[in-house]
Amino acid sequence: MLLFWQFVFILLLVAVAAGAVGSLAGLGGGLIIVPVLSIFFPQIPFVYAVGASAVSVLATSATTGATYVHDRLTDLRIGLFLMIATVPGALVGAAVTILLQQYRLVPILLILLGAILLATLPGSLRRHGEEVPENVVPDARSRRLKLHGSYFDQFLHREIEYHARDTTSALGVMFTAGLVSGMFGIGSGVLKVLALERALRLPMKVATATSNFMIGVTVAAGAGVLLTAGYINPALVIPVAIGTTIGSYGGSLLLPRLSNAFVRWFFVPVLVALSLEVIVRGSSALLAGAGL
Amino acid sequence: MGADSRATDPSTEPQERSASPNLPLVAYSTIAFMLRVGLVASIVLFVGSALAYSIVHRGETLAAVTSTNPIEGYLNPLNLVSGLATWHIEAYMTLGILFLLFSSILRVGFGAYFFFRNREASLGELSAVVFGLLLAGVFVIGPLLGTHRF
Repeated sequence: MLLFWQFVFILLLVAVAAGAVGSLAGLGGGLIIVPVLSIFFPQIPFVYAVGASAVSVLATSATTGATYVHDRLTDLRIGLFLMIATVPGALVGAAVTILLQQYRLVPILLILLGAILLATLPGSLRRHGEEVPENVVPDARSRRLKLHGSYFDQFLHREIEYHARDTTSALGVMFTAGLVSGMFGIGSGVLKVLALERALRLPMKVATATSNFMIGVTVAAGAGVLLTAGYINPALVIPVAIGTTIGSYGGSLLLPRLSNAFVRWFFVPVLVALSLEVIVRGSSALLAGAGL
Repeated sequence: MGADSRATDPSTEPQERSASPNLPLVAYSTIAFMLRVGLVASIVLFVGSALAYSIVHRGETLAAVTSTNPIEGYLNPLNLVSGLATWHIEAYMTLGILFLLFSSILRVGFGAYFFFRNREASLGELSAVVFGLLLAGVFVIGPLLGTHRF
């Protein structure tokens, strides 16, 4: 029988590993920690794993988010505008997860989580963002809300001006990102960057910084619901938050020393195996009629 | 974003620039400061309370600890204040989580404030709606869903 202090120690190590893998694979710690907790600690209710992940994402996003905001790389105007889609999505997502847990339908969540992990992987490994997008024509909403800005690019040594276009598509993708974020306590950074870079056509650096700013608020929307519904247990949250933050930081230090080929050939199979494992567990439980 | 750095970049001629709608510098520094304070306060509270909690509960099994939520009683403000005053570890854990959560939520409230102050009613109203939704999640949706337990 595992004692509590032993469990905390193991959980801390697992969270450090998950944070490092998530950081090295460009997914963030959140998307790894929920399947890891579900596979290795099946006695933990799924919704508690989601709550632990949400708080760890809040901690990691605040670490880098403060720097991006201070350096004014974050576009507060575009970030706050898009939150009108991500925050309702996250509130709905957190409510869906709580209700599925209460009605013992967690296998559905496991299958969805595995599918999302698999679907996100290619996008996180390939960055399509343009350093400075050219010929961007803003739409009417973008002109009305003045969704444009500028920053001084230290690499290019010049002022970069940008405009947002296609705000309707971006709002649609952002609602989906919020929904996924609320359901699984993850940042959905890949989806957010996709909307900012592909739909709005923002420069890569602004998209990354603005996405990070939005992740903190979107995850806070889901975490707030989970906290006051009673599904954030500090006995799980604290080791996971501390471990994931340490792991993510360690991963970011290690990343420059690893080749892209190593990351692709070592981590991709690990993440694919993790995704398939949660899908198989969810499917088996669903077929057996077990509620988990 | 960029307004000050543009001023320090002598290579850029003023007539080449379009008017930037960036918020004033104080908006960025206030939000960054709030995020840092929230993060540092929560980490200090997390590490301290986690160590104390692990020592106090070291002999208990995992099942015993995870079967109940130790902070549930402290989600009520009065109980939280009382728990903090009487040095209850669980109250400090709750406070750590609240610091992290509200430093994220309040950045939207500050965003709304700075938009209104900058006379940008549309974005100010949008931010205020988002801020209201975040508070509704904490104070209305969560407590409603929490009444039905599995």
